[in-house]
Amino acid sequence: MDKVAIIGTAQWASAQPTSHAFYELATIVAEQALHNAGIDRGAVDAWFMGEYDLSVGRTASHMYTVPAAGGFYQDEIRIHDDGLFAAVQAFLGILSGEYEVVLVVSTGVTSETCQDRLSTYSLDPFFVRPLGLTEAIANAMQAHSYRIRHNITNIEGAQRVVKSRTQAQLNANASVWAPITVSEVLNAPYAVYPLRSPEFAPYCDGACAVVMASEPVARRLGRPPIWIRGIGWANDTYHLGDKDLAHLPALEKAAEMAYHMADITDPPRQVDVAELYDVTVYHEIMASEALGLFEKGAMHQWLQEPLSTPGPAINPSGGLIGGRPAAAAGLIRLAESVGQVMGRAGRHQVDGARTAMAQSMSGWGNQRAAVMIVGR
Amino acid sequence: MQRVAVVGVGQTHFVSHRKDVMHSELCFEAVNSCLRDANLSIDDVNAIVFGVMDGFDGVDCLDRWCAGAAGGYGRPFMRINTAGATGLSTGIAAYHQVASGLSDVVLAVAEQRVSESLDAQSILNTAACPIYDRNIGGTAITLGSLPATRHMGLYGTTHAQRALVSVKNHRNACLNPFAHLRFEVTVEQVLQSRLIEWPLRLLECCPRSDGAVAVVLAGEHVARSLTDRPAWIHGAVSMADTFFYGDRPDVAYRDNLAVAARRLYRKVGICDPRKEIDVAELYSPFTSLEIMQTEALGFCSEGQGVRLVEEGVTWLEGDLPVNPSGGVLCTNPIGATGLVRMAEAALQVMGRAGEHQVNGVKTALCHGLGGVLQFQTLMVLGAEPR
Repeated sequence: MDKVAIIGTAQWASAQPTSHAFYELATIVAEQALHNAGIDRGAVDAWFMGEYDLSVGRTASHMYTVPAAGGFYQDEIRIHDDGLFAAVQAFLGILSGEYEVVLVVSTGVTSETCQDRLSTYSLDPFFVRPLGLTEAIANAMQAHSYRIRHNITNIEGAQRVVKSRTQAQLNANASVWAPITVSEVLNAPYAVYPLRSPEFAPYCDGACAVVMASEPVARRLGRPPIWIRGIGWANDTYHLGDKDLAHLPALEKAAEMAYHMADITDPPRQVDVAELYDVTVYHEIMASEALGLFEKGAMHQWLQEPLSTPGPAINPSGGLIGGRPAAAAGLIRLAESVGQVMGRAGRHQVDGARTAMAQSMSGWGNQRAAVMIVGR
Repeated sequence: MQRVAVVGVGQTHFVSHRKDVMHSELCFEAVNSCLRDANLSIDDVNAIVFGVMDGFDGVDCLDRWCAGAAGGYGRPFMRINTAGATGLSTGIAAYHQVASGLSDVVLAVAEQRVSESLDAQSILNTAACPIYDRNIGGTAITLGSLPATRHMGLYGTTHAQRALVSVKNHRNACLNPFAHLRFEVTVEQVLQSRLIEWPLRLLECCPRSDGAVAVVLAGEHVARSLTDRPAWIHGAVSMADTFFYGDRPDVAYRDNLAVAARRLYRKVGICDPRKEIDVAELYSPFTSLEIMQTEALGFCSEGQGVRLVEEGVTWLEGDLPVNPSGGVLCTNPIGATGLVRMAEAALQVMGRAGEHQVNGVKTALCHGLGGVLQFQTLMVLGAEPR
């Protein structure tokens, strides 16, 4: 199989509602990513957008973001899902031989609308929407199921929040980095019972862009490229009542596919860094177990800081607890993974990271998942 | 990398309002009929690509609900939305997935239930900037009427000439069992129908439809084992342009489409599109757009699009039939429409289009259109692999 490289990334995030129009964020990250890749707009064959419409209160929001990201008189497609899915489709676009250089762009301006209220509109109007279920409630149900299944205490959950916030303080691109203590978490108001607000990933405004290139182009550029070693993506049932909430079966499928492609047989040893999509702190644990990085229910073993524990470092960037700019959140996991294997992650750099893994999820009860493994 | 072919298609009947089924059931109808057509079971499918445009269906992210009906549980599933171009973008994404060699069989599904929104136009208007653009009174129909007016001014195109496009497409739709509007019209009737937005009259504008379509694509090896007559994909391009309509060179030219077409023809080795393309299924929601699209696609020179329809070239019996299915003028399930074009083009190549089959189709062109005439998608299918 041909190889595909990542040659540049850029991130942008803000905890405060941005004064930029949502499409201006696309310009900011696209320009920066192309600059980091050392190429200009003319070298790009296709734009792969990963964005949700209604989160900015519009239909067809990519009508503004594609041209704003420089997509003009060239190929474009918009994946209406998390940005990491757009990265997967972009990878396939290069493998198909259609493109040499592509730009993946994802914006998430969550301050335009109430995200949780909006989530109810993707429920079927007959059976489930009248229940008043929101995405936060669905995520809390999953987290609670997992907690009960594995006897996780609320103190352990609070310790995870402290860990993620501590890591986010080291990450210049995190938007939420205020330190927090265990007792502050335990005394915070409930967001959705039994989860307290700091246990949820806070929405923020942000964007991310990633430049991918075919092997010949990447080698021509003369800098050591980061290679995409494996991808996987999968979908599971829409109906919460149809599944065991304490599991993430779509992610397990996606991981299996990605490991097979990357020839990874022993993930805990072969993966150095995992950037996970932790919509709650418990989803970080569920995801790392679904990915086979830790045994199921073994959370107690790894409450320490990720930079100092043996085994894969989980969310050294602070993950989504450091800010969740909707569709851009998953693509940011990829940018972080690339930063780690390039050795340019900054203060949250994991020593000697050679293989990193980005993961994202979307839909009800995280029905859909994508995984991308990158390495030197 | 591998060659890719369409090996089966499935469509639902397109109507104003499908009251008897829910969203997911509608999707299931198209998927089932497609798999039956290809003689495949869902277990043979490696991945699903799903297209729908958000806002019209009363449900956001409809893909989540329909994923099961599309066969997407436990499988890779990719959701596409490129506004009106969604349908063909879905087909192109599926094409790339098979061509990459990672999958051998990929199912492309697109659905739209425009009837679930009381007023599709008010939803379309949310795409525009709320401060500058949203309140100027422009609509989707403006995107047909402005160019129509300009075309009249530049080339002397008449109402009666445009009406011929409507007569032709309505006649074709009568031969297509899946089409939404199935009645014949005369030039007189078109000219006397209600004025929608000058100069376009009711019978020059598309309806809004409910329906779903599915197309199954396979790699060369699988395709050959399934059928003697697959529709080989020769190549596809898509094209983005600026959102700002005032920034275009001239509203009478479909500049971005002309550029996209030239790129596609170069890619698939077409030198003379008028001679080498046997049939075209275009995203033409207005009579004016079909005329201008045939010009941009190089079927004739600029301003001569009316000649093609006047001289019968684009009619079903003509030299280069355009929209033999009745086209978008008679059926428009917005986000699914582009994939219907691909399905119809594939049927023509496979020789299975039924009553609206064009004789001896070797090469077919299909087209999708989205945004403010902003996104153009094109694909060429052929009877022989390229």
